[in-house]
Amino acid sequence: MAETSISAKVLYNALPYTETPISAKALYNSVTITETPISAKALYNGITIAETPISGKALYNGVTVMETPITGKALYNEYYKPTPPPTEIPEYVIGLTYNAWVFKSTEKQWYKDGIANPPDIPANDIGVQWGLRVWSVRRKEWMLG
Amino acid sequence: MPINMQYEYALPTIEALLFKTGAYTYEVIYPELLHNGTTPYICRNLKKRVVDFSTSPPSWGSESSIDVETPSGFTNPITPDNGILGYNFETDEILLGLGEWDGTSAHLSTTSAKLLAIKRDFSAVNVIQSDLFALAQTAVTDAARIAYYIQFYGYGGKIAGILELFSDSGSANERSCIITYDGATWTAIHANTRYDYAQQGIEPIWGASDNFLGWLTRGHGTNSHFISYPALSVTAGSPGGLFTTEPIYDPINHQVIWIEWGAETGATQHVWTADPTDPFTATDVTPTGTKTDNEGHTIDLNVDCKASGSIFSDGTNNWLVLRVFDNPDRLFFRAMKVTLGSYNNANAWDIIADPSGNDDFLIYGSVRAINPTDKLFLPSPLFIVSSGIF
Repeated sequence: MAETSISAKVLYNALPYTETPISAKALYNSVTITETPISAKALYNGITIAETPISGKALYNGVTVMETPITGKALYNEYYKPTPPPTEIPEYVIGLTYNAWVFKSTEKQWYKDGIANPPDIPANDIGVQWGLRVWSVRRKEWMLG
Repeated sequence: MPINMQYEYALPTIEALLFKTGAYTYEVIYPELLHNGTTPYICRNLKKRVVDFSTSPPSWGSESSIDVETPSGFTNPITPDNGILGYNFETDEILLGLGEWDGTSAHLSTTSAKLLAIKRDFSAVNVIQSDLFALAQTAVTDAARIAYYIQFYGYGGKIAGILELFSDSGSANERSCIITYDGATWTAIHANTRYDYAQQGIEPIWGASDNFLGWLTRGHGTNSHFISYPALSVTAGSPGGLFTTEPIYDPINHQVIWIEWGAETGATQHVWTADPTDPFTATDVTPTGTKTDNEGHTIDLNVDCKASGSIFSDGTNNWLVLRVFDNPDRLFFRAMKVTLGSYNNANAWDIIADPSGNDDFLIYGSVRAINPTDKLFLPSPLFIVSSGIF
């Protein structure tokens, strides 16, 4: 069988680009870029940058300026926190009145204003039980707890 | 040895107004300041956080924001320097002066500036004075620009404020201008009976029974003024000194504290106290002595400049906190505190450090805490420090 060489050809750059400089000359990598001046005019190195006035950027004289929040810091301490009561009640304190701290020895914790003070504190507890007469150190008189 | 504060919390600002909203809660309202490489005072939003001191450590709530850029109409709204915010006690609005950035200055320098009123609940922003420069020119006919300072406070339907004016681009040609609003009409006053040096801030003051008395101004070259309430009459004066006299109202002791700054001569920079009913008759309580910061700088309590004061309290300690910077060289700036009433006692003064022990920062903006219900100033539970903002 007769053999015949086939003919082949390689095609490349088959479509030469036609470059037409436009007014704002935007030729880049053989691709024509159409530039449309936008309101804030941001033309840079032949590339149109879309500018959106957002918080954090200032547009001025056609240059995008990056804005960075400054760094300040608030300094402060604990504020008007109740002074922790003493860990032990002095012996002469029989009890404290309303608006004072009381200590419930069975629970080893303090209560304030009697609000969290349950009614079942033993009478011999260091803390104050409602209905008991207690000595007010502040007022220097007996009062009902 | 600098005194360490217990806590710090980052905020993008140099100053704030605080509003007491509960036994342990405060709204912290501040301008978000943006640095664009030239100026650190671009401001497009006002921000708010609630700080709660009932927990340990105190907790900060989420940030809310309101746009001030769009209502201002400015492309690059710029705030004044320290003394950025004010408050209208009558309408419960933050008062914020904004100008159009000129594109080159590190500070406010403009012929286009407005006064905005922002509802404290961030429900609205209104421009209540749309052309501060034109208003100022009605009294100061050769005014060429507003620069550095704009601040306003309102009370009982009246508003008083200041602008720093210059007659040209040179910094030596200051003009003294006060703005008032009587409920119907805005008025500019060329306040030059004493000197024609600039007005740089404004401070409301009350009497011993919490009766509102009026406003004092921070005056360059001792050119301070008292603006009476409700008459809005203007009187020039100073507690003494030679340089800028800055008033701070102490709501704990019902006292005006004056501090002095601006010298580059080594001259004494004073501290005075005065009864608010006679604020220019002051007692000199200037300290003497020195303090040393962590970097080995010596702070001379007598001659170093004293500025940007605020009243701080943590419930136990009540201090004047302020910026102190060396005179004459202005090479370093520090935050300091002094126990209220003990100004001439060097032992009552300390340099402030953050919880890490760093003291390389300064107080540049003031902080004012406000009881919006009783319409009073309060001591503030915090103050704000920053680095490199001048």
